[in-house]
Amino acid sequence: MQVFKLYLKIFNAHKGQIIMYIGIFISVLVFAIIPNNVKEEESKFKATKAIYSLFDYDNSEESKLLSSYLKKTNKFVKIKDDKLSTIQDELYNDFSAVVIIKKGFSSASFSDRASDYMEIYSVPGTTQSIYFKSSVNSYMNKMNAYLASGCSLKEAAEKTNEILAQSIDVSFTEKASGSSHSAIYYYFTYLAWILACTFILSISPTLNSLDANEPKRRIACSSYKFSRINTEIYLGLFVTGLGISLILLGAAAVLFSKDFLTVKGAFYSLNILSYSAVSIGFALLISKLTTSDPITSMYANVISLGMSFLSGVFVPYELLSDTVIKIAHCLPAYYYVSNIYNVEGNASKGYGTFFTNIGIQWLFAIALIVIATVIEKNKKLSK
Amino acid sequence: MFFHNLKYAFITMLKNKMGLIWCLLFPIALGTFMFLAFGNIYDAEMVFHKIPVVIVADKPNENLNLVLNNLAKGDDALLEIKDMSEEKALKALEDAKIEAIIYENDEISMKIKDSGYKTTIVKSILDEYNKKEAIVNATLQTNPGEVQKVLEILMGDKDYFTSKKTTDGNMNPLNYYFFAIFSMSCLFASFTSCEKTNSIQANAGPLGLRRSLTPSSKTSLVLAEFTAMVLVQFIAECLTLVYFLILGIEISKIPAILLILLIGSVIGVSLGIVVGSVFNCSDNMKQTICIVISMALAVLSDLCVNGIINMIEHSAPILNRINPAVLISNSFYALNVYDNYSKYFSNLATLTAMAVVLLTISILSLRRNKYASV
Repeated sequence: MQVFKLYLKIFNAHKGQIIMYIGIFISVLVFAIIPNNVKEEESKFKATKAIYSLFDYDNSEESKLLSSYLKKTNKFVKIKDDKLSTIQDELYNDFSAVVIIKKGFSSASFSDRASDYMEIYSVPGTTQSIYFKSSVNSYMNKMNAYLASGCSLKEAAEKTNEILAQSIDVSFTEKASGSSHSAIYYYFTYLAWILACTFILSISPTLNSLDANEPKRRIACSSYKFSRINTEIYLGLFVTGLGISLILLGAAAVLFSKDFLTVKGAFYSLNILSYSAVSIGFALLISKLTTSDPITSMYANVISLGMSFLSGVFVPYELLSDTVIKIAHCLPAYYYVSNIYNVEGNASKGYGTFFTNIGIQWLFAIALIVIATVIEKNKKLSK
Repeated sequence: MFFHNLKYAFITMLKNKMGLIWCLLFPIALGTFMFLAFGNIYDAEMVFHKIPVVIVADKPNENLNLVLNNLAKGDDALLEIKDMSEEKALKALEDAKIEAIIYENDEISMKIKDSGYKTTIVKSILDEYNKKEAIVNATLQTNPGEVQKVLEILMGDKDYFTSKKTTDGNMNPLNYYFFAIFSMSCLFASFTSCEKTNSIQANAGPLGLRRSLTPSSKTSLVLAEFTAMVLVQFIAECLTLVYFLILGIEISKIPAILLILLIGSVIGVSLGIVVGSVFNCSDNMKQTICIVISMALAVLSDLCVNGIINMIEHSAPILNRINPAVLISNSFYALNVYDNYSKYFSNLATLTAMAVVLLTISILSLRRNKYASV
């Protein structure tokens, strides 16, 4: 198994890129993606909470009532000050609005004159802005109505809170998907980029090293049959592909044990093994197209990033336009991401298309290997 | 001699295909993919559009229908009421063609597919109707004399606040990804400059050896190489800028942008020279160091995942103040969003200081190198 051992030795010299990409990926996953994506099962309606901040310069009973209501119904986040630049930066990121209650708010006592004492900064025309402002108006309007009907401030506040707690009945369709994707979804979708990139960056240079004139001639002089050489190289590809996939699946089992150690985990595993085959196919093809490491790196980044942007990896599947989805049908990553989407439980098509997509991924892998073989053969013939 | 060296350094740079690919073609390709993927997400998801709903009325509620129809009229309509049977409505809901089905029965209820801002708005409209009805009924029982006043207040549509906006600039947060591409490509200039540094150092290869033996001033040689690299990188950035403008990415205050790109190019080139001259290892290892530094800084500037800058700003803001990728992206953001130049100038000052520090380190590490033998 000399060729196999040689393959692994050369691959070992190129493992640095894999470690780097996976290291950056795991860091971003642990510090940015997992904390912000806890998927909740959708069985009961949960009103979306707008992120806002509030500065109360009146500090009256009236302003405190409004603050207390907003804190119950939305997500209050403290910001360092109410300077325009600070508000601007927060609105650009996650914030829906920043409320400033000026001194004298209590004198308006929830009437129309309150607009002289309350400012709401938001991005005009956005859904979040409209939602937040309507919730402020709703509370102020009811307080105003109860005060006008003769209630005291305390009575009006109690009655307003009581009536605001009432809600119509909301039901979900049978296959409700939930309002966001889980962290495990993002883990596996981002792997479409990581796998393609790392496989090309590590396997292609390894194959190029084996294909270089000197080692190739030395191997050709040996008693090894051509078929055995190829078999050992393919065995090397299989072992490295399987090894990296198992490491990533192991990481998934550690990070997402609750979601992964289930039947869904088996589906995720099968999906990733199929996509690994596609990535190996790409690596094999690139190794036949070029022997230059910088050009291989370019191919790796263009292919992996291109597929990732167009197939629902960096941009959630459901936000892609119809045109992009049509283009994505030509890319193997589309079928990989579609399977993750199905397994997470978002599609109404069930598991039926899962195995179809697995089959398509394997067809892509075989097609890439065949193209690589044809290119190699043409090169030999032209020599 | 300087211009002679500059001319040939410039020609050499233009013939360096890999360098041109990384600093020009790759940002353009990445920008194109982003443009295709993001498309009009901001318009589709963040900008408010009328919420499509269907009403299924077993027991039609005329008052509610009046309210809903009013909300569906005019330029600032909240709803778009579609007319279809319940079966078709359920299919449309599954396919996300409508947001909610409103059922008018003994009680008002609704059916949705997902929770979100739009379904929350529809629910709050229906809740508002119920609540206002309850308030009027309660007032009729407790204080009937005030009913007219209460009705006027409840039916009024005045805002209880003053709406303010912070800027007239473009608030599309997805544009930040395109700004991050510029900062990434500026830092990618370090790959070429690191490689070029080897052509100056006598202990790095035969070319460096030959150049060290020439009678021409080393200062002139190094300056010429540096100027050529910055010039080529800057031209590549300008071409990328032109391409993004053609795509329709909103980028304003072009002269100020060009200044940032020039300084960004200087920083990228200087970074490569520092890595190439300070680290004593193989060419591949130096290139790897450049890649790791550039990618890490670019990832921390929201290139791949949105929200990292914001997270760092709240936990360790000093990191954002010293990350050149963040400073470049933030300068673009400041120019497009802020009405004044204060944030832009503060970023510019920090970037200039960084460029000076990196250049100083590069000069100190390259000058007066002596070798035991050649």
